[in-house]
Amino acid sequence: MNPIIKRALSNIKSGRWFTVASIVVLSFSFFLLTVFVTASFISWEVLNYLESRAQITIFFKDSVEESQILSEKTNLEKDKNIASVTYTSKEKALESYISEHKGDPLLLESLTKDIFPPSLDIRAYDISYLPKIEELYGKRAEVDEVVYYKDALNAFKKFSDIISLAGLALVALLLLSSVTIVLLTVGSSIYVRNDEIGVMRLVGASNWYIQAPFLLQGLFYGVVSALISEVFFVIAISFFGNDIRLLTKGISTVNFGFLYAVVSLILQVIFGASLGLAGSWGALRRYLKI
Amino acid sequence: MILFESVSKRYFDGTLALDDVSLEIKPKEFVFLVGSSGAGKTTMLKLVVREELPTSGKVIVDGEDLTKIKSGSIPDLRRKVGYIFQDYKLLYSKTAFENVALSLEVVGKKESEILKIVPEYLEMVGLIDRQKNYPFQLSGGEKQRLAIARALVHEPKIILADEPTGMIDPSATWEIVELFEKVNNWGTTVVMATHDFNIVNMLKKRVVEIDKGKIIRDEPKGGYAKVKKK
Repeated sequence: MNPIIKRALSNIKSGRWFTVASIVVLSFSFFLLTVFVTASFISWEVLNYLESRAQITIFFKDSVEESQILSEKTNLEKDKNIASVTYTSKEKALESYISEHKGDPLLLESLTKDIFPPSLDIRAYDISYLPKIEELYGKRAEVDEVVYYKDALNAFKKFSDIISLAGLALVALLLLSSVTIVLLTVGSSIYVRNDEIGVMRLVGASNWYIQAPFLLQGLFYGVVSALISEVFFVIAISFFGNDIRLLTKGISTVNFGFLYAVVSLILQVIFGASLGLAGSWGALRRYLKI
Repeated sequence: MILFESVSKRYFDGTLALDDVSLEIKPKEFVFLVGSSGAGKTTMLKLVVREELPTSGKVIVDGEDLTKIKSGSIPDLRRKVGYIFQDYKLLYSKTAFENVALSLEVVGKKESEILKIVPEYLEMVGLIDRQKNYPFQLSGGEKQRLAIARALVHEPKIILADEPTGMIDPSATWEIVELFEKVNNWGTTVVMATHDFNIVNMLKKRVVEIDKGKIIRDEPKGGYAKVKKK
């Protein structure tokens, strides 16, 4: 076996409790990181979807003529900021109500079209344009009510921002502690092998020969932890994947299939390897005097 | 082979270890460095393997100016020099075989070559039967012979020995000295720092005496006598 690999394995074996502690902490960090990245990704997708579906509905008074509403529709369609305008007549509103509640005869009893106001559903290309429409139509005499779910959207946006920010802060903290634990573990190996390193230097070992086993040690911690984290992530997804799909029904978001598992594995291994190497490099800089 | 040109060395704590030392050691020479503790002998040896840098002056080893050598070239320099210590500096978690093999591993020798070369050197120093023993299972003399095998195994041009007999009994001392003579007869330059006047007086080799960082005597076939008279 290559002596560099042999020495790296010997470092890992001789400090087995340090190795276990490092791998547990790193696996946990990587797992949380993957969960937060996935959660942020989902919330971002959901927000995008909600923003693209956000609409404002103008309900007109019963007295307003259909022709007047259709004329408003034509005017609105000329606006370049507006993506679509859909007219719902009293009759159409009644039809869709009946089809939605056909299993509940009590709700449909003595129902007439008169209780449903005619309306226009307006979608803008940019969600920020919707409040302008609300302002424009809200105070007009022929308008009964303008409904715009801005609070719900804002609340979700806030929630999504909090997930991203909290995730970012947590990830930064976990990364710092992960690098630190690799640094200390590799540092303790360097300390234990101080005499050996001294002798190696005097018999002509190159800097690379002395440093490489410690870099490999950090790399091992990072990659093994990434693999363990991926196993737990796949298990978590197999348990909760269906619930997430149910929550985001109809929204084109993360597909927790084989491809997602492979991509998250590759990213975690690359990330784990980089982090392991960074920790080892820090330990070499701090503890190894060549 | 080794050239000191007006070398001074002052440590960070202000101690002046060497003061304007000039010395030339030719290839295949056997030189004793003598002098009291703290005279500067070990500092001279450390300068030869670039463990230390001179504060001023030049140290040239095998044609290379060590004040200008790049850090990446230091391992190559050290492969030309075998360093032997009073306290052996053996690795106590490794067997005798593994201690010697380490010198070959670090220079990238193949395992098959290591398996062939190491026993030859253990045989030479009389430790072939102890190759599986750990250093703590060896006597002082055996430990030093093991350290010599480790230093010799990559066939250095120079052997530096810093008080190699300082921790071993008189009977073992002569075995060590005979080994150094043998190595010198093969053409290796030997520089030995010692306090042992018996060895110096017996071998009648070149003696360089240092006192307070200065060379005060350099005799081609000297003895320890002048130091004793002080």
